[in-house]
Amino acid sequence: MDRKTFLQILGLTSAGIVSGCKTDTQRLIIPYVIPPQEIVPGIANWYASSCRECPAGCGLLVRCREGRAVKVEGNSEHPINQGKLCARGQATLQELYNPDRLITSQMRNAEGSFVSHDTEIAIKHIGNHVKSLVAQKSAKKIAMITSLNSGSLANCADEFMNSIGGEKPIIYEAVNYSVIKSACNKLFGKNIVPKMSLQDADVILSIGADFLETYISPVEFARQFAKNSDAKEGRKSVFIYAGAQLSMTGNVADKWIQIPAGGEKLFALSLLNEICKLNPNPIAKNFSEGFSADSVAGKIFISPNDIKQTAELLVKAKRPIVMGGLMCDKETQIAIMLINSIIGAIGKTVFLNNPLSYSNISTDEEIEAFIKKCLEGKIDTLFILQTNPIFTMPKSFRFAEALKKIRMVVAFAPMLNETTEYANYVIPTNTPLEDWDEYQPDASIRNYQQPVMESVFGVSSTGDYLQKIFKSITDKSLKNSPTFYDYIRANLNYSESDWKQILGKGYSENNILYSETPKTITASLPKPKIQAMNFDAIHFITTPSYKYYDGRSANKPWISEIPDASASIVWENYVTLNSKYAEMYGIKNHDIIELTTDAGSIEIPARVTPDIEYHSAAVAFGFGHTKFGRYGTNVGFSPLPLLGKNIWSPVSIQIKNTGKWTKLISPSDTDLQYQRGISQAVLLSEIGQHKKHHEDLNMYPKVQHEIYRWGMTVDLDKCIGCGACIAACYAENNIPTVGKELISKGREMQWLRIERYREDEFADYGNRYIPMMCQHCENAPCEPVCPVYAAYHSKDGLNVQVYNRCIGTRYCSNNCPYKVRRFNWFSYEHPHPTHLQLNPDVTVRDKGVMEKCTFCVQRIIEARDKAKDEGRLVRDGEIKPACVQTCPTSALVFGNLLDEESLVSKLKNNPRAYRPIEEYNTRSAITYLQKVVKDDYAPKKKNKV
Amino acid sequence: MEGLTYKQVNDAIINTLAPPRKFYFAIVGFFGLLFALGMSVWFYMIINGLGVAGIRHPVMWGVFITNFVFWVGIAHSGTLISAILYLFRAEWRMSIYRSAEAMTVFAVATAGMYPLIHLGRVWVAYWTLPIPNEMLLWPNFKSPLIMDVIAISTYLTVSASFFLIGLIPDIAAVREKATGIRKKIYTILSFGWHGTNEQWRHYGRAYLFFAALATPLVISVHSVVSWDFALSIVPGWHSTIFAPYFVAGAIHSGLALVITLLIPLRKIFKVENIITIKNFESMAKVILLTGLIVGYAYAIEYFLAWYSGNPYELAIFKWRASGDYAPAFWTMVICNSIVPLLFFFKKFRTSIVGLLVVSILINVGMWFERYVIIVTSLAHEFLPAAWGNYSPTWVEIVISLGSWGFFLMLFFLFAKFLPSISITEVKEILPTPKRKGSNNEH
Repeated sequence: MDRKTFLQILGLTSAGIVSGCKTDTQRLIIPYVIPPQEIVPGIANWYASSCRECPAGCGLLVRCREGRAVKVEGNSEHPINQGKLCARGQATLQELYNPDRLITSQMRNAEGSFVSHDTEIAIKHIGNHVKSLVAQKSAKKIAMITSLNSGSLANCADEFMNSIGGEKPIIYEAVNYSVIKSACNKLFGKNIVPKMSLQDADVILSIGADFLETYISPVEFARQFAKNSDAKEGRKSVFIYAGAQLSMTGNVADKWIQIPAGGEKLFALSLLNEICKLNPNPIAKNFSEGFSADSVAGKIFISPNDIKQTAELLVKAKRPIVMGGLMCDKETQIAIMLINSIIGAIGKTVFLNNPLSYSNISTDEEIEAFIKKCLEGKIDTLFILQTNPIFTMPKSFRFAEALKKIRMVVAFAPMLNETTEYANYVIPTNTPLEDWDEYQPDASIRNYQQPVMESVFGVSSTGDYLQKIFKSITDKSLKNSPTFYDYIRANLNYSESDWKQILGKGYSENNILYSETPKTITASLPKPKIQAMNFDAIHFITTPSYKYYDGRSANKPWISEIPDASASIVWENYVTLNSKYAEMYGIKNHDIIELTTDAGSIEIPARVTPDIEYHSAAVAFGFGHTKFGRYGTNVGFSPLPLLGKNIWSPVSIQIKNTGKWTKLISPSDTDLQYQRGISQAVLLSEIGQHKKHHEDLNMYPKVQHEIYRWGMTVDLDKCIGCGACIAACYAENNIPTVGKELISKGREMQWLRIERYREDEFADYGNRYIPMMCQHCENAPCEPVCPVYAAYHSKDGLNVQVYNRCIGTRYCSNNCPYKVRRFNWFSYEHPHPTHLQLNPDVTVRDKGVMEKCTFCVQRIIEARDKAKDEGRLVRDGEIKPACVQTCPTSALVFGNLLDEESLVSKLKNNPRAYRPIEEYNTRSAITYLQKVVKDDYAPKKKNKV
Repeated sequence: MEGLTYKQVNDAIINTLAPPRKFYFAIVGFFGLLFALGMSVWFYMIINGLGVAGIRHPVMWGVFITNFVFWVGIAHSGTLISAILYLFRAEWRMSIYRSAEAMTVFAVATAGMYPLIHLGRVWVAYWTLPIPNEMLLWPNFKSPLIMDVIAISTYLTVSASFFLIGLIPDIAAVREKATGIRKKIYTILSFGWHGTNEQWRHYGRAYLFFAALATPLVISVHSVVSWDFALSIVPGWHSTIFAPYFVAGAIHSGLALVITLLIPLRKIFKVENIITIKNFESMAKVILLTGLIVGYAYAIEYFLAWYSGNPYELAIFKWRASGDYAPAFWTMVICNSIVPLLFFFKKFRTSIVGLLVVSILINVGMWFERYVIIVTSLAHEFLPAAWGNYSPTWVEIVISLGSWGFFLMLFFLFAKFLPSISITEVKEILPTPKRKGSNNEH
């Protein structure tokens, strides 16, 4: 046999062997026959869109790979969020890929249970029904309730209702600022919620306004706020938080004025009174007469000086702002707006000529009038568009009863929720990432939303359904546009090239003249009514959860698994009680407490903390869904049964210990630092003074890096503990969520966690945060102990983990002083279709291997290769790991430590720089910058002196 | 042993291999089933992932590694008795060393399973071996775990060879009385032994050399095992006293288990006249010594934690004695260093009940020593937010019981298939029989 024949036979036999092998997991790889123009396999496409998780209207860039969205990021050009995004924004992908979304329309049968139906048939039924109503001249019996939209969908809904002769749609949002709206109306004759800005604000007073969490535009505020605190070392911007509960926002304040829930009004009026003394204003003086600090302070358990000093600060400030939270009533908001106008905030930080989209939300009166009509049987057909009022409206609204009276309730929703339980028809819709629309967060900006991928479940958009229904009623189309997309084009009237450009950019701006002159107020104000507060009873407030907002984000496991900023608790909410109060009544953490008001009662586990005023209790809103998919149902407790008409208003409450007990699950063991200096803070006057010097001793030669040594700095003065970085890390790195039970066993998979420690150095309340992820040590303790070199040091300074090589001895984790390594205890499931979200650039790990933060090595490699192709080095700021990219306050900075000019190198040499457990000489690549505490606002320190 | 003749010894020991009663099969079957149960649970764990066990972040090592160190420790007494005491010509070892050696081999085999059981991906465990391959992948010899692999495999090889060599003359003696298939097997295992002068000479030298080779292993293997901990930076592990501390502990627990196993064995086999109370007393004296060393190590650990000025070390040691694992800690202290002090009294050293109770308590204590060292150190490391407590689940418990099943099953099989007391060496210490004319009684 010659060599050729041998090779032929060899080839033939091996082909036979290959074709004889089959595995169950065999999949076909089919090339595109006609490749779509935009899609190049392996190359990501980015589409601009708008975040619709809350009405703030942040701009999005959505990263798509092979036709599926894998990551959302903030649009770096967008004027609101400038590339930043909160945790809820990051998790918007889990709305898109939620496995519990509806695929088919649901129609209620005679027995009252849902039956799947073809959507076309459902639309036809609905159309015929509406048609008969219109024919009977009963079009007024048709109504619509919708979530807040302010673009073409809103127009389309209006036009739809208008054309068939129905009522104007009710716009319902649980988190609304109608109180501010009516206050502005009363004072300035403008029925709007004004745009607010913290840009360069030097004195910020928040009266229960959690502007870093949910208030109006949290990402924008966080971004602006951090920029101000950037200057903390030089220009001293001051933030005072007056409220019952030290929220995540309150936690970053320089000073917390502890007023009981319900005391906001007295505080605002006395503040106004004091300000009038410094800066006379007849109307304000009249309005706040009799509320001097000395007479009021005692009633709300604070010192008159707190009010006087705050008044003085505000009056002296150049760009001050006062914000009133959701719990403030109309008169409180009037007082606040009066203060804003007296101290000159109008036109500088509060813009009356730029109404926010919140202004469009229907007021409680309108909603009540509508519900009354329903109860009277005047409504026959109701369309519910993407809103869930049953979950957020208190019983006293009688909305559920109203829905029962309505003959036909049609709900448009991506998945079943509490409200669809009352619907006759549920039409499955696309989520915003699959849909065309626009959204105007305020008058100056219009965001454009485009489908970033094909509908995951093959359903259509709400607009398309409205068009179809309209067509079946009238045989015509709205604006003569067969589809909703055509409707938008007709509505906006852009040329093709402008349209393409605008879609690429994601937003357009209208010029607004910001330099308005403050209006002189002429309104005559009635004297404010003060109900005598009875502080024998505890006053209770609820605030929208920064994790779930009004409950709409509760079906996103990434969010649920982020330990909350105040208590590090996951998958759960709790009632927050003051520790002194709790001690007096024998209540401990995890005890189940019964809360009772006139309206009703609930049982909920307690959390005891000094972070709430003595006479107050609080529960985060948005938990306790009874129907919201597998991830959202039965997570925590809803405070709704306790609440009055305005759910955010304080109510007095009775507290009873039931004697039962549950375990609130937290991934962190303790919040005490034991003087270990993990999360450090420093007095402003003492920056750089107490630095410990650790000698750089080493038996071995120093590790040499060639061109790059990647590193990070984390500014703890900027970190607010919001967890956006964690959500981004989940999305980018295919990290599985594991659920409550596994977290209780220490099996959470987060590569990046935010450790929360009690502030015990400068105050007796509050938290300190420290984001903790792999420190990429130069002398990494994890590396030498690995028997198979799965953990090794790359030449650009990364501490690399090779999943394929790992055999799972877990020694690396034992030897890691930062405990940032995560072990795959199981093979975690990614239920269909959540697997579509997995980032194809990152390995999905299987059971038995160790994993950890990689500094998003896939992004480093991408940028490095690009730079190499272009024959240059990677530019500073070119690489942004997911956490750095999204951090709303830019607390995280990433770059090359070998480059002396890079931002990260400069920050590393900041006098506030330190590294936890530095004495162990790990020479970590992450440097932390101490939190700064202003000397005047360090109550504990002051007591000592 | 006074008054015994060579023949009596020969017969008494070979009689231990007589066909067993039903009860014996029941016991071996029970332990076999226990072992099979443990293995099935291991298989269940492989299929589902290590999450079914109790180990968690940050306590990544738990009962599995505790068991590993415990069994390696047990394995130490055998070689100590057979090799070191052989070199020292300690006569009291003669009657017990065979069982101790068997125990060593079985304990190393049991211990060797645990690093495999605890691996996340046991199917690639061979990556820890330096096997040349086309991908040029090589184990990391800096890692204490690789040192472990080498130490344990060396120890298993040497102790098994030593065991088998020591058995040759005895197996030949058994061969003479065996019939059928047993005879064939014993013939192979006796390596053609005929008791010629030349063979005895070679055998003696070989045994001496092996003893000399095994002696340093007694010290080194457990030192290497202790480096699994000492070479890390974990507070509570990172300590230079770990090697001697672990070796002493190993001998402590090993001798205790020898006593625990031999007391029933001599009773069942009715060889009280060969394994005498004197043998036990000698072991008790050694236990007293190791108990004192271990107690000293416990004390010195606290001194070092304080003297080092390292707040993390100090915190760990404080927490050990007062925290969530304090019961385990005090069990360890009492069982390992207080209870053995009873051996200062001759009454306890020579009382079978006393010996049995103390030896069992020492084994409990030594298991808890490893548990305390491993778990408490990992549970409270540097960052308080990342602390977390560990407790085993049913998976770890069943697998642990399974390993006892494995060990005891092997030991019971050994007792019936191989002479559990060295015939040769017991004969050596018998007084030379007096000649009766030309009638030699050999």
